[in-house]
Amino acid sequence: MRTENDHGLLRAIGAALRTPIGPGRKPWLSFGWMCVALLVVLGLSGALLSIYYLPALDAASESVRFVMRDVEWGWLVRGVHGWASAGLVVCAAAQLVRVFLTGRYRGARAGSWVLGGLMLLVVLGLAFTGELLPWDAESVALAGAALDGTQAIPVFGPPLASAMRGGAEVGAATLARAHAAHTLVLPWLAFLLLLLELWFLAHSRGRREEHT
Amino acid sequence: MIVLLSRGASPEEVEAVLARMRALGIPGASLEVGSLRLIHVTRGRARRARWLLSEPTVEAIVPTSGPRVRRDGRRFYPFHTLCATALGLLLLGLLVLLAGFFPPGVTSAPAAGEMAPAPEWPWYLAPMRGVLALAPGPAWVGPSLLVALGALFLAFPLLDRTRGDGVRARAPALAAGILVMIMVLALGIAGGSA
Repeated sequence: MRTENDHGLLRAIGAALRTPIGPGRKPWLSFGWMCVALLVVLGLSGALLSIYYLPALDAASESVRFVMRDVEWGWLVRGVHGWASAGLVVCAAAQLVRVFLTGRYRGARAGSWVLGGLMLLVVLGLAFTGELLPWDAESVALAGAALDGTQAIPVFGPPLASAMRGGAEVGAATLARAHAAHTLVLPWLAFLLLLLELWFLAHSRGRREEHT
Repeated sequence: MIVLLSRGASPEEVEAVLARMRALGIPGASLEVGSLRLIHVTRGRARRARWLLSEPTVEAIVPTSGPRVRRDGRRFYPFHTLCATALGLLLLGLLVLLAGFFPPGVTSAPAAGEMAPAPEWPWYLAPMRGVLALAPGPAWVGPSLLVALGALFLAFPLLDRTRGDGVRARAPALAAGILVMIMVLALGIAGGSA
């Protein structure tokens, strides 16, 4: 009879947690770990903010003001969310710089570099779509300027801009798409990239151990 | 040495283990992480902690020093998990402080027919703004340049043909990379003031 302990995935996770990770190593003292911690903070604070946020043209700005003014500790949660987002951009960029300077992007780790680069793009996308959600005068101007820039890219720019705009003009559909990208598409993409990155790390480590 | 107690161990059971440890001459400090109870052996002959395995509440004993740890390093769980959690909490504290001292603002929604102001671009897009501002010629040059630079960045491991790990062996790639970083900083400054 199979029990929970016999499950392959659980056994693999248990074995990974019990495996010593090299003398003197401090994996938690790295930008990579800080990225993971910030993603967790962003997920939790974002979930709390999404309780009150209304992604509608006439209600988005008011719902954000309601969080800031009337919800207990709402201003603090929104502040933590904003600062964590800025911190994540800094940590993701710093992690890539560190990987570059230490030369850990060559050979088996090339895939990890590409994933890190894609993660930085996803993080920038998350931060930017987050700027649009309050849908105040500033956000509307920013959305318009960003869509004009996207439109100018040859070949795939116009269809991409049209898909992001969701119509002839910046409006309700643009806000709905920014909201969907910020709360569904990009967070899941970030989670997937994180899992792939961990798999790459474990895989390249296993290969290095086989060689020694 | 960390003594791992079974999940949901009651305070009385923890106290019983601590009393046994004191009797063995290895005093420890109790830690609680969620439903998890741990005891960190703070001083004394840690080898004596193996006698604790006879206690029904004690699940495992994880060495944090000694020959095996010096040779193989520490396990992720529980040692590094505790450190990572502590650092995460510190980070959260820093974020709360920043949010408390510098709270975000929000302005009102634009009225119908109101002209949108010139957008204030976020700081992290300043290098991209710099490329767009400095790109010559028609409007498509800047965005196309951005896409090409992004593709070059992702393909960097394929372009780097250097061998060896030393600074001298990697000098061409390092020089190119550092040049790119300086360019990104300069573009950021240019984009911020554009």
